[in-house]
Amino acid sequence: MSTRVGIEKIRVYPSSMALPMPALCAARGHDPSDIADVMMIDERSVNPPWEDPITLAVNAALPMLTEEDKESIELLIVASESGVDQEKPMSTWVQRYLGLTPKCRNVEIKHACYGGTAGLMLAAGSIASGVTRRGAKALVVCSDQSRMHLYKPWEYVKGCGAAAFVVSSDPKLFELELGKSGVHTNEVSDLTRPTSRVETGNSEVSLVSYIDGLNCALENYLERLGEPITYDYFKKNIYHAPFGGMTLRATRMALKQFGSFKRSEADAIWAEKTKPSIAYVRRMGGTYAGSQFIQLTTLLDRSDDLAPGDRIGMFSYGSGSCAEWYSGLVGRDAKAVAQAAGLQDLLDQRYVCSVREYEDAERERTAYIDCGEFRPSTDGFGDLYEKQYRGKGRLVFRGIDEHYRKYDWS
Amino acid sequence: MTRDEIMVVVKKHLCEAVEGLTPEAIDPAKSMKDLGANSLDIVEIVSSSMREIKVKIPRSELAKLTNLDALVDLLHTTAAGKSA
Repeated sequence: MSTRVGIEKIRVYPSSMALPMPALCAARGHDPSDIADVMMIDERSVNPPWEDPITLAVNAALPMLTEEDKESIELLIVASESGVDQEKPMSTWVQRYLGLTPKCRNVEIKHACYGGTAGLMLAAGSIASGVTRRGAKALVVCSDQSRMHLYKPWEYVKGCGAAAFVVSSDPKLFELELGKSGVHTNEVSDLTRPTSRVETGNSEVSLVSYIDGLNCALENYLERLGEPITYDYFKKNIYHAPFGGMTLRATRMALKQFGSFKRSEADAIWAEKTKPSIAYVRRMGGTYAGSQFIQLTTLLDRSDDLAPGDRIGMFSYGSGSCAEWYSGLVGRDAKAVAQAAGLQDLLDQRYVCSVREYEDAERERTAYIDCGEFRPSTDGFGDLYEKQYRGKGRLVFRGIDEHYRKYDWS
Repeated sequence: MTRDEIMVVVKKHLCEAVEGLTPEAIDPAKSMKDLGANSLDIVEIVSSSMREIKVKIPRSELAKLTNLDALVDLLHTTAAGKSA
């Protein structure tokens, strides 16, 4: 039985278009400093009409998988709240287009933004318990896109993207501390997707529920740990980021369980321990299940004061709700593995679209929901398809034919 | 806790969140937004108040609040119900 388990490698795919928040704020007449300074969002990723949660997932994972990985992966979990079918799991398409073996168990799981952490824990349990054969690996892919929210007050926090990570007994990136975890489940209808088109709820209720989940999951973590600790027990802290600004509020609340901190002290602790992790989610907008793992990649890529064995506190929250505080240790090759993901380059390569192009993309994606026949156009968006897709081997969504989704390589 | 004591707690967290605001200047008939708090500040004020008073407000009730008095009433009613 293996006792070491965690993330061996990781890769993030931010799709191929970016909408700058100053342009969206100007178009909507919204104060840009509110979005930049309070919400902490600079850009959002936008999906062109020929990408969907399945292409995002495959395009995130495929470039990092070796042939040996593909042979070793015996469990594939796709975590998403953006499913494209009520019955057929997205993991079946992802298994096919990644070229994983037929001996690979696959499943799609849904738990709002908690889905990725749920996937990590289930994968780790499968590897560590010996449910999979010795030496086998699991692949978890978090893939989401927001629905259309044009002109809504919460339009600024939407986005898309995917994060894929291999879970194995060789956690070069991030080793889970097995048993060091606190969980809080609380049924609440804070944010929901009750139909195939609607994404709704009350954001303030959801954020209070997030903070309640944080308080209770952290209490549960400390109780299970059974020894008094200070906040410095964690070298760095990652808090789920529906938008970057939430991590500051989360830090202030978590610190209340460790003593009395002035507002300025709490904010300085956030700047040191958490702010480095949000640099890239600031550029992607809402990424739902993948957010925490994008933040982990960012932190390990950009921090120069982390060493193997340093402890990272992780907090995940998913509407509905489930919250989990857990911890893990920086792996021996963490920085190299995180840098190999090349996320900054992928972000920089995105086509910077206008507000009009963003609206066009959102309207076209929305128009085909529940349609049995559809062909996405690959025109427009600054010749994006010709420049960044054709001949580049990315998976693209070719349309729907009698309700069957079609995919092909670009 | 009495209603007045709960009002003191809520005002304290409101003043922490809104720079330059003092407890004496707060009109509880106003909404927290009117008093200068943004939506993330409100989340922090409500969560910190609940934690200090040791109550949990039903999430569905939170969405209905219109001003500070309504929040304090809800916290007071919930706390009284818990100790009854």
